[in-house]
Amino acid sequence: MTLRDTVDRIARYALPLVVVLLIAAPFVANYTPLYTALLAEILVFGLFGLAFDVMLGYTGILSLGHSAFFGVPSYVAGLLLVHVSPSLWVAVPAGALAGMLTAALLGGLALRKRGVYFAMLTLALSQVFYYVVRMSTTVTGGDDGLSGIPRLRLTLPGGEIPLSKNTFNTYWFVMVLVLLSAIAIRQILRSPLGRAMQAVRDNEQRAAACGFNVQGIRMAAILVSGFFAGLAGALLTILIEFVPIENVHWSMSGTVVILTLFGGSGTLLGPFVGAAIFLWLKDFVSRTFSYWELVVGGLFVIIVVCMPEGIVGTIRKRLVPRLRRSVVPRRTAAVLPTAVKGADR
Amino acid sequence: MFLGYPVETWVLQLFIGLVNGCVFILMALGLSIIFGLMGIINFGHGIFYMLGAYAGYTTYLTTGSFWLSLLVAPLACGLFGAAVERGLLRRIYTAKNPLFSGVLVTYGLSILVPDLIRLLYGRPGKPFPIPEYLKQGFFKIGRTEIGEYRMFVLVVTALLVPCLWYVLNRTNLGMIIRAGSTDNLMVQALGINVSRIWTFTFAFGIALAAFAGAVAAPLFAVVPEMGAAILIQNFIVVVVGGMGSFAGAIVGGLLVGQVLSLTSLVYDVLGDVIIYVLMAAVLLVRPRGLFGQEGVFEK
Repeated sequence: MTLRDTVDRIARYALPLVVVLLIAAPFVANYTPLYTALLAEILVFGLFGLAFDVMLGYTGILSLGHSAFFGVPSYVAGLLLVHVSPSLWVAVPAGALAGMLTAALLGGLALRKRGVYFAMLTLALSQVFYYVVRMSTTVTGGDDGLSGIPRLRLTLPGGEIPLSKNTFNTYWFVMVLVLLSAIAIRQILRSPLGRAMQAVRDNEQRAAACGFNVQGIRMAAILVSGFFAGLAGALLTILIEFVPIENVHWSMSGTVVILTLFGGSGTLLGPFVGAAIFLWLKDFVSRTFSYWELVVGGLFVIIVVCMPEGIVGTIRKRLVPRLRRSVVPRRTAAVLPTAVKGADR
Repeated sequence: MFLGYPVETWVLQLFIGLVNGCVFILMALGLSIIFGLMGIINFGHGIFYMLGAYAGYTTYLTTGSFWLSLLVAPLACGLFGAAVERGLLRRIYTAKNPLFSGVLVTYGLSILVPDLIRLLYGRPGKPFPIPEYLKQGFFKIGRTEIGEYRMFVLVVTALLVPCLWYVLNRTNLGMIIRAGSTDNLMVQALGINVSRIWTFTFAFGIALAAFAGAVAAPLFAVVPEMGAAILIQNFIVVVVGGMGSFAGAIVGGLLVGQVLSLTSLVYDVLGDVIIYVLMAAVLLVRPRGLFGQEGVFEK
C-alpha cells in the first residue's frame, strides 16, 4: 500500500474518528495545554472562522465586517437569555438568524462593490453596529458588556442538563452544535451552490459567462457565512455567560482573519487548527510572557509571507499531492494535464 | 447660544478641529501617496504615527531638543519603513493576490508593533510636554487662550503642504511617482527603476505619518494604542477625499477633523458614527471620493 492509499484510508474514517476524539476530549483535556473550557472556545471560534472562510476561501470575497455577524448575534442571544427566556432553544436559533439578517443587511449594501471597496465597506458598516451597541448603554451595557445571564440549562424531553458551572456539559453542548454546523457547511460546499461559489472564486467572469447568477451566489455566500457566524456568536455567549463589547469591534474581524489564515483558507480543518493556535498562544503567552499580541502578530506576518496557505493548507499541498474525494481543491491544474494527455490517445 | 453652548465654544471647537485636521492631513497624504503609487492599503500607517511619537519622545528624552525630535522621528521611521518595504512587502508583491496580502501583512504589523512598544516602553503612556517657548498663549477665543503650540501645528502644516505639492507636481521624482500611479508597467518599460521608487515612496509616506505623530505627541496622549484609532479615521479621510488624491487628503482631513471636533459638543461618540456612515455613503455613491480619479475602483 502506498502512502497515498494509507492517507485515503485514514481520510475515509476521518469524520467518525474526529467525533470520537472530540467526545472523549474533556476526560484528558485538562492534562494537556488545551483544557476543556479552552477547547470549547476553540470549537466556537473555529466555527466562526469556518463561516468566514465560506466567503473568503470558497467564494473569494474578503470581508472585514464579520465582527457584526458574530457580535450582534452574541448580543441578541444574550439579551434573549436575560430578558425573554433562559431557554437555549430560543437563544441559539435566534443568534443564527440574527447573523443571517445582519449579513443580509450588510450584504445588500456592500455587495454592490467588489474587492478592496467591498472590504472597506464591510469594515465601515460593521463599525456602525459597534457604535450603536456601545451607545445603547441601558440595553447592552455599553463598554462594560452585557451581564446578568441566568443559570443555563438545556431542556430536553427526557429532563434537564445543567450547563452553567458544568464545564463538561457545556463543552459537549458546544461540541455537538459545532460538529453539526461544520457538517452542514461541508454539505453546502459540496452542493451545486457550493460548486458555483467556487466557480465564482476561481473565475468570476467565466462563471457569469456560464450563466451563473454571480450576485445571487455572492449574496448566498454572505447569508450562509452570517448564519453560522451568528450561531458561533450565540454559542460564545452561552459559553462564557457574558457578552463583551469587543465581540462587535473591528478587531474581532481581524481576529477571525488571523485565525483562518493561520490554519489555512479553503480547508475545512484550517479554521479549527488556526483557532487552536491563536487561542492557545493567547492563553499561554498572556500568562507567561504577557505580550501575546507580539507573538501572534509576528507569527501571522510570517505565515502570510512564507506560508500563505496556512498550516493545514501547506500540509495538504506538500504531503497529499492528489485530489481527494472531499471538497474540490483550489488547484485543479494538477488534474488538467493528465486529462488532456488521455484525450490525445 | 447655539445648541446649548455659547458661540465662543463653537468657534473654539472649530479651531481645534482645524488643528486636528492638520494632523489628519499629514497622515492622509502619506496614506494616499502609498496607495496611489503602490496600490497597498497600508493598515500599518497608524503604527508609524505611533512610532513617530515614541521616536520623538525618545529623542526629546535623550537630547532635550524638541526640534531635533521633529527631525529624527520622520527620518528614523522612514528608514524603518524602507526596511519594512524591502524586507516584507517586497515578498508579497508576487503573491496570488497582492491586495489581500498587503492588507494582511500590514494588519499583522499593526498588531505586533504596539505590543513591541509596550514591551520596550511599558503600557502606560509617556508624557511629552509642550516645549517651553511654544507654551504661551497666542490669542484668545472668547475666554479661552489658544496656546502657541496649536498655532505651530497649523503653521507647520501650512508650510509643509505646498512643499509636498511642489515635490509631487513640479519635480522629476514627483512626476515618476504620479506616472507610476497611473501606469506602473509603462514606467518600468521606460527604464526607470521602479522598485527603488517604491521603497522611497513608501518610506516617504511613512515619514509623513511619523512626523504627524511627533507633532501631535504634545497634544494627544503618547500611548501604544494611539495608532489604532487614528488609522481608521485616516482611511475614512482618504476614502472620502479620494484615494491617491492630494486635494482629497486635504479636504478630507479638514472635513473629518471638523466633524469629529464639532460633534463632540453634542454627543461624544456621535462623531465616530457619522464618519463611518459618511465613509459607507461615499463608497456606495461615489467610490472615487470627492477628488479621486475617475475610474479608480468604480467597478
